[in-house]
Amino acid sequence: MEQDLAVVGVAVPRLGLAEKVRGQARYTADLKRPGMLYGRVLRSPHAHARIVHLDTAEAERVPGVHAVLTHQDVPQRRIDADLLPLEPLLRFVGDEVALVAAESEVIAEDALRLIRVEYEVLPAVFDAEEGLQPGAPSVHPQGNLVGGKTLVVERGSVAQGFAEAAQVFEETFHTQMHAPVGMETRAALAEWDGDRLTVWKTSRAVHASDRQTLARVLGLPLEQVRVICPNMGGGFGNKDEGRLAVLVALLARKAGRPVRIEYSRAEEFVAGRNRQEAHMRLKIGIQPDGTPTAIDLHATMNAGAFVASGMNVTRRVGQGALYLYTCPNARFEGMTVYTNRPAGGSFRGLGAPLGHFALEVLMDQIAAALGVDPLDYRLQHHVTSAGQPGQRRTPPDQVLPDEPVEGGVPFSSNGMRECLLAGAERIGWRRRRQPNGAGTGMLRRGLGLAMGIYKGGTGREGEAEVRITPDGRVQVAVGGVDVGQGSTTILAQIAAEALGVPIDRINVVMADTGRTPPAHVTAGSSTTITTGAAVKLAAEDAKRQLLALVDGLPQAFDPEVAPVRREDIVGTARVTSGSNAYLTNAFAAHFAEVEVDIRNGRIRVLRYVAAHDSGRIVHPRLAENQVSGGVLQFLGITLREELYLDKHRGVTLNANFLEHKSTSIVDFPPIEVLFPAGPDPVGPYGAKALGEPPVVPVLAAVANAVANATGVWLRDVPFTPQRVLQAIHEHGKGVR
Amino acid sequence: MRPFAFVEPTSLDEVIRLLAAGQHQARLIAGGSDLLGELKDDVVSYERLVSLAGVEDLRHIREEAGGLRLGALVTVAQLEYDPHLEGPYRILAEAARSVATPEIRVQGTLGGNLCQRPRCLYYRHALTPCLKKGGADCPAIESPYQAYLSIMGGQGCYSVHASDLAPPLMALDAQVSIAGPSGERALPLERFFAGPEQDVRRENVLAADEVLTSVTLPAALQGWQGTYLKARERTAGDFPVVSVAVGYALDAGLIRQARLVLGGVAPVPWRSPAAEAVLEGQHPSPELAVNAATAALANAQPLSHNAFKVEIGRALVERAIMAVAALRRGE
Amino acid sequence: MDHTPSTVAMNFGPQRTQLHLEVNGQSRPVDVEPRTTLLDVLREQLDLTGAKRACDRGECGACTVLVDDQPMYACHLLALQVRMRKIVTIEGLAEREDFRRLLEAFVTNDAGQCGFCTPGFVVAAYAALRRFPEADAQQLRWELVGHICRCNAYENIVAAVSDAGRRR
Repeated sequence: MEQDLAVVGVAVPRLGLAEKVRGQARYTADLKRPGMLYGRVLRSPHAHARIVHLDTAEAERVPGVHAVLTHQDVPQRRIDADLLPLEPLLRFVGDEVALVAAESEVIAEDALRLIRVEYEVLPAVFDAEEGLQPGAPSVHPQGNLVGGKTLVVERGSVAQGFAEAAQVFEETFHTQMHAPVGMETRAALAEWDGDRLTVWKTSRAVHASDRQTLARVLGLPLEQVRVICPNMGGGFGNKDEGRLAVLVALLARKAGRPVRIEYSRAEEFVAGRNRQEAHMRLKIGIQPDGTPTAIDLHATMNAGAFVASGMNVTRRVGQGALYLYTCPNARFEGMTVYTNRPAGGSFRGLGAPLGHFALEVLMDQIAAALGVDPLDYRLQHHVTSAGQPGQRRTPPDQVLPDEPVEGGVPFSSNGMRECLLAGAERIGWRRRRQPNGAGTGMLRRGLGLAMGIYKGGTGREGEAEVRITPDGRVQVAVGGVDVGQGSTTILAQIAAEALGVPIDRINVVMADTGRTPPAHVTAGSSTTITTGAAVKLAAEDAKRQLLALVDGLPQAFDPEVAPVRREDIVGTARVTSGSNAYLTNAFAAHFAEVEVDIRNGRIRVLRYVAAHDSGRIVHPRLAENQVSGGVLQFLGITLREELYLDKHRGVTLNANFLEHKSTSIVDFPPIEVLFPAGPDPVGPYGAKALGEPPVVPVLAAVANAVANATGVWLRDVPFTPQRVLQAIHEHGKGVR
Repeated sequence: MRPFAFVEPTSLDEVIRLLAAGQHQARLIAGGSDLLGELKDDVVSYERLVSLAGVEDLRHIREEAGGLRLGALVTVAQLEYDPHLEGPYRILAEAARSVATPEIRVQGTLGGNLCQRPRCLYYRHALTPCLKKGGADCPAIESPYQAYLSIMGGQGCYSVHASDLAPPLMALDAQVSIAGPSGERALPLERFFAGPEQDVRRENVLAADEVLTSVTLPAALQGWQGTYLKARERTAGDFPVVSVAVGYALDAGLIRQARLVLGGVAPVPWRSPAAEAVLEGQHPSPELAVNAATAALANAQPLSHNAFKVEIGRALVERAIMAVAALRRGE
Repeated sequence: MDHTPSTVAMNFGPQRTQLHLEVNGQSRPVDVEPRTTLLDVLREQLDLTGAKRACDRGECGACTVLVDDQPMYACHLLALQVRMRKIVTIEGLAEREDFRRLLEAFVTNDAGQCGFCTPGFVVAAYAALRRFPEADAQQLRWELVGHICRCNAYENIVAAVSDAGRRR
């Protein structure tokens, strides 16, 4: 373990930021190719319908239109098990019907209006619970329960645990659909050169998803497909589905010209991938001293019209219930259900914030029922470095999963206690917290806390190439993408550190299947861990090769001194991160102070402290920005953001920033970020995941603060004034 | 947007002539911040947009007969900063400051703000027919999303008027000037707005060939001051869920010339004579504020999902009445 | 909307016009029709892609440019509306001497993550600092309220703009 780190741990300027400030950074929709046409998509006005007749003749005759693409033009090869490029059956308002390529977007839009479509409108279903009823409209032929069965994972036996319990608590919780909507909308540009295809696309999965999908669906050898993600304007775990790239490629092939499509904001809201609506039922049994004997969470997830990564989302709902508190018996049941809503997918944290909401609110209620300070309750019962009781199931020679269920495995590091204590100290918990609902008057203040546990970012494969050119410059190539989390900078830092050179020698190339080695999806907060590990090893490999030619650094990099080199030196590495012996997870404790106006239902966040254990912090400033950004993003979701679906027609009514209530610069106070824990033995330089953990405890921290202020626990997200007033009045705490 | 022609006449007469010639397929555009949104969302379409921007005379704020005349092309940003809007007229600058964002305020005009179309989510969506768009019924009536709907009734259509400038202007007893083919006419701002019982397709009395040219503020009562408060879901940028313009003068500690106008609660800006009567001749006090607020919202008829606006309205009115008293004390 | 042909005569570019726009101090010939927005012209014809199309509704600020020195949303202006006005984009501002302090402050304060909203913020910040050179952080915040950052780098943005205001 490096003790003396010259670059890592230091706040170097974020690479590429200056270009962005000057407006010089190019994103997908900024790119133009010779002869490029503009594409637009015709979308279904019905939630569930079959195309009976489709006539594109008039649209095709419009001057400036070069191609119209319909389901009759596309190969019948599936993008996902439930997704064809285009088909005559439409499953949500906004589903793709046809595409037009024209010399301007305006012409393309005008042509869309001339496509004559006759629809047979079918009955639609929008609620997951309704979707499960016999006789409900079938969104897919296999039935509405995705996979045909409920996901069940269990440790020990909750039946036994409840039998042993002195007290049992049970509550239901509900969170609404909301949209990630990064500032950059989905966009793709496809260009054919004979049978060779290049696609530029805002994507976090050029290797793992886009290239594979394009090759397979278009029937091309992989080497004939190149996918490049230039700068990416916000991923948040989203933007990994393959339909747009396939359709743009098909449209470009039919038009015989390059085609670029940029989704409008409304399309991004509706045809992007949102976070699924969740109905949760949580049951917890405790011993007289409060020790949990059984934690049982059931979730029904509304996947929408296509499931994409929805099963992963569902699975992660259970993460907290299964592992956050020491408990021999824990179970998670998840049902993922198709409906005629816009499709869900991955959005930062997946299901974890939702499950943690239920868990941390009910635990807070339990503490209150026991008359115990919720901080003490958590200090007593959070999972410790020893891990969960029980028997290890994973064979001893296999890498442990980082979404664990089994007991009998310790953590590589667990800083939860440090996070709880540091966060409590910072916000003044002991000094300032009053009993729940003690306040009087119109404005009531309260403090609340919530914990979070999340994947540590291990258990993935990463590959990197480090190339030292004869002029002494270094190029780091990795397949993942910088979605804004600053991975470019961090990987450059790691390479600079390993090579012993200043960071300004390093150029990082990312997300180009023509120039970078394969990578998994930029996801699961794993870029630093796995890709960083690969970069470190690749750099060390390159360094070894260089020293074999020339004696001593830094002369080895000086072209004057080392004229022997005419060719690049290339170091490579492939890494599978993770450990056979330890679980690696990230931990967090968040503390919120709120003021609730009980007359108009407004919640104001006064202070917010986020304490995180993500091992060694590779770049303090970027890390703070990540945590602060994640918390702020989620505070918006907690208090306001939701997609409004009209249940008569299945129309999304608020597919815009104004009515989705996106957070602005004056809505929330600065987030106080603490990193009280030390390095982890497993990750490169001792680092653990940081991208997603900041969003995990937010819902519950705010709900618990509101409960402290008013005596009322909110169980319906978002906490709009309407819902707050309703909850307060139902609880009888209103003024009038 | 569907195709349209864009014409830029340089005189008011020409504007009117072009509107008249276009019948209902021509529409006036000033800054365009509301109209362009409607066009982009395919809520409305016109063959021809007639720009008012060439009529320079409408850009000014002028003193007139002891009061002010505000041209229809005066931007919201100008209202925010113009030195004429002091003292009794300060309430208008305060309201202007609360509109949308700085960039929209530079673009949006006084006339455009008063003539804005509703924010009801169903009105603003191309796939949901509604009465105001010529459809057969109102899809919002049973919807859970009623933040921009009326709590003061509405006769079939319950969309509210969301202007931030209308309530303070009404509290200032503003008049509007309208120009049309047969000349100019003036009327009180209160009579400019029209609810669905008159014509569900419009929100004001302008004919298709008429132009709102200016708003006139009479000489204000010495010592009159007011405030504009706005309840919105986000801290900034939003249209009002409920807003209130309230003001009065104090004569030997007693309220005179009380004016109280609610925004965002009805299809038209909603003046409350009942609340004004409670205030008139009384000393400002928290109890008086409560009574006035109760009177202002006494006849509320919320819909299935917007009763929360009533309580918000009451709290807002109480706060606003006390805020004016604080202004008077120079706080 | 229904998908039957519009009854309005389909004019693909009624009044297709060539005009000159003053952009970044230069007179540039451009092709417009009435529906062409200022943003369309900047991005597609003049290849000035610093202004982004993130909402096309005048709600998010990513397309902000200066029009006669005032910040406005280019997406929400028809090109024909601004043909007599002076347009300055982020690319034009980036050449100015008094831009340097903003650039340095944004980088030093790590005031961006994905960077998509950044040019819009910077244009508005530039205008705000010119107009209110003594503004404190709170006032600057309210001048930037018309800009959304989904990465939520807001705190660093405020720090950067305040920082720039203090530098000379």
